[in-house]
Amino acid sequence: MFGIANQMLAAIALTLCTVVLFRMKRERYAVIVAAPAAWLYICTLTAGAEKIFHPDPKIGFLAHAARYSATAAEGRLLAPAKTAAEMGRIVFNDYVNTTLCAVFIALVLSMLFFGLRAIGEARRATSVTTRETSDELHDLRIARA
Amino acid sequence: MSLPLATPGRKLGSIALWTGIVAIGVFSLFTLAVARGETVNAMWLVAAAICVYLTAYRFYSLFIAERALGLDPQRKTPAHRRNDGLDYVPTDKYVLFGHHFAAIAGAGPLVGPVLAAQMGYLPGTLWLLTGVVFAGAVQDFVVLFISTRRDGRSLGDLIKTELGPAAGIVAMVGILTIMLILLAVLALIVVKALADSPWGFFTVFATLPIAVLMGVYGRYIRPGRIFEMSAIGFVLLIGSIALGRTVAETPALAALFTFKGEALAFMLIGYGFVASVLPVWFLLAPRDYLSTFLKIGTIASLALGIFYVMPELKMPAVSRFIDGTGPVFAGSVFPFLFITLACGAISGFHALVSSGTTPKMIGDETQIRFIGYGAMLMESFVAIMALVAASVLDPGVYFAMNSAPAVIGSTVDTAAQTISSWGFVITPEALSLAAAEVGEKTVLSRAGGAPTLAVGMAKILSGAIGGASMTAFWYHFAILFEALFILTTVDAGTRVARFMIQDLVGTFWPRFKHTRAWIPNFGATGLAVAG
Repeated sequence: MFGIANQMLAAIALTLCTVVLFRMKRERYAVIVAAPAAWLYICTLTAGAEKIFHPDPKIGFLAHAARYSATAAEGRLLAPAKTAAEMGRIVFNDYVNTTLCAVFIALVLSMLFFGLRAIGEARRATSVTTRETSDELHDLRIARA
Repeated sequence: MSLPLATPGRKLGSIALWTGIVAIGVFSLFTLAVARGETVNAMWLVAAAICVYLTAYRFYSLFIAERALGLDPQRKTPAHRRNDGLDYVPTDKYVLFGHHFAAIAGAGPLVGPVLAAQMGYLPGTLWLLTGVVFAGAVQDFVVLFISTRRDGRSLGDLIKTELGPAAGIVAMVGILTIMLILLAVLALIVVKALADSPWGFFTVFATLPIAVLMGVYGRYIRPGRIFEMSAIGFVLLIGSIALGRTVAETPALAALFTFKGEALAFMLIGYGFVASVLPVWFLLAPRDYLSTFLKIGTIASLALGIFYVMPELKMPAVSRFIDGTGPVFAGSVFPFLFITLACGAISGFHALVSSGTTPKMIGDETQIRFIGYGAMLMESFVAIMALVAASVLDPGVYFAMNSAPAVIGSTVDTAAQTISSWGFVITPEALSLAAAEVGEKTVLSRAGGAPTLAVGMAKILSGAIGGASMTAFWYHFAILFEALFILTTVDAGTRVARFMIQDLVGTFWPRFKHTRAWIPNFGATGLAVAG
């Protein structure tokens, strides 16, 4: 979970980098950041989906929850739970994790959408559209040149 | 890096040097990938990593700096333009490297590789190397560049300006959620590592006054004397580690520095609060610089230790657990190896630091390459060392330490039997002996990475200095080392979270960008999550 959230953040950051390169009209070099971004989207989305839906209870949260609630319904306990209440808490945690994971997946997908949209806009624009803080010195030199 | 004084002779020398480095790297990688049957020496792994890093830094990062981004040394950085003596302070590039490295290098590069070692050392090594060169270091570098060109604003805010307001709000809320989860997990690891450990607590605590002294020294007493400041800090730091042992061995003093987990959690929150509002030059930057000394020093001596002791990698190159049935973590190579090996290869947390404290302290745009790309390579090297430390252990011991009690049982007999049935033969006596050597009661199911790393490091370092009698000393040193790693991440992280909340709330209520009244609020949130 920790790893997935962290890598998703990296995917978002690299999306920003790609968009900025397009806006700087340096899209020739965009593959430097776009390629790792694509790889991270593939990894995190696969991992996120597997964490939710994988049939192996060691991997999938839903499978894990189903196994614990089935055992609890029979009145038995599964390690590491020591009481029926702990069994309930484990199932609850699985659902919390599932929700978080789903929220993160939605987040990453929406960033992908926004990113692609911004790239499209930047490509249609004819000049540099990025918004850097202006630098008087820098502008002066451009004016002279 | 076009040297103005490049004579033909120097140029030829440089070509020869880099050809040599590339050749050694290729040969080492080849040895790692092809050697089968015989065990492989850990030295090749370290050599391959160093050559890959040097080559990537010299060529790929230069290409990005000059061609893709166009770094401009003439351009004023936010640290100069908005110098306020609080967050925006132009900082020496080595001090800043230290701060940045300390902030990005949390638990990830230590824990991830240890877990990933269950699949054998080869998959982990390959992803660490390719990941850092083409993804992780590039991310840190480019984000730092983007943020520096935009007043050092935070990632969410940058997304808002470059991708539109809707994307900005989604990203800010999402990033803050992720950030709080990451901080809570990290804080939990520190608390676990320092609870009931007077030696560790004393040393970590001692870094605070030392850092303040360094900060004051560097700013008022003798400004600009970075070397003097470093030397003083270093001597005091070594002194505090040595003193820590005395403290731990003196019952009266030990009691003073022994705390339960809950008390530590409160202290950590208090510390995060204080560290995130104080001026950066006073505590944060010198302290991180100081712990970077300890970290880079340890990793460098570990690397030297490996070249000296030349331990064999006992873990197979690719183990049978690549099918996803491994006891340490479940899931197959794709996608879970790439998820587990986070910080050594690529980590989103770094993007937050790169758009948090660091861009506000950069004094010159061209330093972005050294700090953004270089610090990440350093961190990846730490991850490689952790992987080596886990792989030089007897695989039986490794699996005993990292498997859950539900899998291997809770006695050395059941553990030895289960692990031997996986094909990694080990006797109960060997497991007891491994525990006794480091002065612990048991090594079974000490999951989480830190203990495994500590045992591996102790094995390598005691082989180089002090022999078997020093194993316990090195073990505790390694535990301390990891706690320090994480703690610096927590305090930079808290500060970054402060920037993020200010950005987010500032969107709705501009005045809030200047107030800090919400901080107790954040402390309360942190407490809720950590507790």
